Amino acid sequence: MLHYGRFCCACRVTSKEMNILLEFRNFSKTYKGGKRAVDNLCLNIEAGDIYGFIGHNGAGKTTSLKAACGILDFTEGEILIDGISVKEDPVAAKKITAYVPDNPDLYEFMTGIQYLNFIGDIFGVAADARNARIEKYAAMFELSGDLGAPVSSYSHGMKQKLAIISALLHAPRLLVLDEPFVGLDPKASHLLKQVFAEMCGAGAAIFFSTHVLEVAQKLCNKIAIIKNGKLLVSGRTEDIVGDSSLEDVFLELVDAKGGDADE
Amino acid sequence: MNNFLLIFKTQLLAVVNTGKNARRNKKQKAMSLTGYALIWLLLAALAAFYEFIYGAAFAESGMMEAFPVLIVVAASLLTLIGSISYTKSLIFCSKDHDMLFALPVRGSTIVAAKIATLYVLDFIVSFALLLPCGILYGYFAAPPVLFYVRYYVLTLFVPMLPILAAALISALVSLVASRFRHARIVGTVLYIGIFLAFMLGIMSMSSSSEDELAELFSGMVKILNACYPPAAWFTEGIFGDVPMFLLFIGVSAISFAVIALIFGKFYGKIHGAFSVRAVRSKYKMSAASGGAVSALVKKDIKRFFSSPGLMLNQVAGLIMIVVFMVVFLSGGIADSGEEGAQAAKLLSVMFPYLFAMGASMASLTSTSISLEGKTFGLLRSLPVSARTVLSAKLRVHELICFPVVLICSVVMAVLSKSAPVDAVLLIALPLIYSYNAGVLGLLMNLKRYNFDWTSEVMVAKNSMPVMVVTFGGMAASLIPGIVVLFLSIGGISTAITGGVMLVLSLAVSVGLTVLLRSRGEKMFEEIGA
Repeated sequence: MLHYGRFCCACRVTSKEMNILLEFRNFSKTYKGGKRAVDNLCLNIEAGDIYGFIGHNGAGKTTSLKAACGILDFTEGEILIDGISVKEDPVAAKKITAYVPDNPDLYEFMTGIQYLNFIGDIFGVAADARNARIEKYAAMFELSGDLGAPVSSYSHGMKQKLAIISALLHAPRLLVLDEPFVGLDPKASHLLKQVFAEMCGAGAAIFFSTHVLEVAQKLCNKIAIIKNGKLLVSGRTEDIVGDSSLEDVFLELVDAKGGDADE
Repeated sequence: MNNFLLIFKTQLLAVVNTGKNARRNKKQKAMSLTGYALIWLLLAALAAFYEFIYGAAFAESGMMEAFPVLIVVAASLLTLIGSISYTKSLIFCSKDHDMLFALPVRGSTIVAAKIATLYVLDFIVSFALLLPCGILYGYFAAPPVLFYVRYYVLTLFVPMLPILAAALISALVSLVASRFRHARIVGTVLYIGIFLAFMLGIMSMSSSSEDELAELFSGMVKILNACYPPAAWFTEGIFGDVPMFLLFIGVSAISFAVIALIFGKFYGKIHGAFSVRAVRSKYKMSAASGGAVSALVKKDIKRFFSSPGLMLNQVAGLIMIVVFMVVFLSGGIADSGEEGAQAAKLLSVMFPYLFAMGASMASLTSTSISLEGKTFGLLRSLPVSARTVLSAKLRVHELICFPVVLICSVVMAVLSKSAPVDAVLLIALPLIYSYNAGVLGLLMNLKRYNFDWTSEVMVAKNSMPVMVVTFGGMAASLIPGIVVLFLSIGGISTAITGGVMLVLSLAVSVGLTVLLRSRGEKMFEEIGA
């Protein structure tokens, strides 16, 4: 089903019933000072989805992702993770979510392994599962040899890999990523896509922002395009793209539609 | 504008115009500036109070000329200790290092601009000591008008040499420490060793066994001049000795230029030494720990020990307690003749309040939110409540401060043979003050956080939370202490005054805890909204 422009979130079927892992219900965010970053966003991300979130710089992608992960406070609308309100029970919602920011600002005073153990402790991951996942993903992303080194000595790509490994430690049901492919080498990007596929096969959902439209078109089964805080279109990738390319569709949409949040 | 001025201006703006302050309107900025000015005035007023007591004693003994030496040495020491803590983060390892050194500007220019920034910050603090000294000297000695001109011109140069000494000590410590596998631990031990040596040296100077006040002061001035010859140049300079006046200015200014050039030339090597990390290729998988609070506590303790300079600054109050206890118990004060015994007796009334002052000056929480910096988003993304995060931060403060305060208080109570009632007060009051400093620091930091720092100095040295807790703690402990001292001289039992103080400080604890649970948690949730 393809949705163009504004559509209301009048659906009263519960998220659980529809197997929705992330639901934005009329979500809006206005920053102090009056800037309306996101305006009435309605979006459902279901189990098994690899959902790409596309928009120009300052469109409201990071704001939406941060609000979904409980990092950013909001007053208008509702965001549910597996039926749990992020606003009302943020801790329960965060327990089944993982977030990878665009700029991995990690604790530089820790070593890689200390950081992973810290995250493991916070999420209460049992030692056996934790060690197995660290070994698996560190080997996969070729970071095993660097886990004993301080994070401060890591390159941007290594920090990004460490952030991704830490996000996978508690086997989240929902993985939210902000520009995850920036800074990753081609092999790591390829591996990350494999991880996405594995996770979705196991019933998790991936929601990520990207500017790399080719990747989004090939990787995502669903796509949403946002401009100036307003959703322009969302739905299955093949329905949106049709016979064209995502790049053409994106440029056509952002040039043709107004959608200014400030209007 | 030349490159030096451009970078200098940017560095200063980065210090005063970061975090929430950068997003404030003109009125809010003016109010914030007024707040800083009031805190500075409080510091100057406290300094004036103590200096008046000392000044009166110097005037009485006819040794008024020696009075400025004491204050200049005190201001220089304050600058030296403060600068040692911050040289690393402000000059050698600031977060804007890569950005600045990518600019087409000479390294020496960047280093000079950074040292100049440190100078301005230190001058503001040292001037709080030096300003009242000049006025009080005028009050007691009525010098000619030219004295004031000479005095206040030279005060501009007072922080320069201590800053340069601090930069040299800091660089040397880092170069030595970088040769060891555990460079941070070695660096921390060296810093604490230097700090303790200074403190013990100064305290032992004041325990001279001279009986006559004039001889005591004369001996003190000889020691101070011998330890820090520029203090003698300063003194002779302000009393009209033109060569000494020029010598003090010349040595300060030329040293400043030379050190900036040397640091600029060898900056790469020094920066490398500061950035050294022990890299372990092997690591152990650890078992799951005791939950979220425990993990957060461990994380913040690692953060605390990761920066020797910051750590030293945050525990300075605790070190003061240790030094005071060691000096007193080693007989430094009590064995100074009959007057010493009398002073020791009076001082024992003040023990709980002096310990409380040290305890309340060590508030690890007043920077703990700001120090999250860019990682605050990471903290917010974790499945933990605001209460859990704040409890963990408070627990770190308690884990580091309480044992030191408790051990020193118990040792002091036992070895000074305090009466049971006095011992209870000596143990309980500093602990309560330490708790209050922890909660107040956290509340203040939640109210005035700053995540945009490029150097830890911005949050630890010039932040409103640190200043409010430090000076508020000093005032809240010393003022009642002095009142209690006078009441005890007037015959009122310390048990009564101590009991009242315990009840009052406990009431403050309850109030602050309630405020943290209600308003504090809400403020945490609102950060970044």
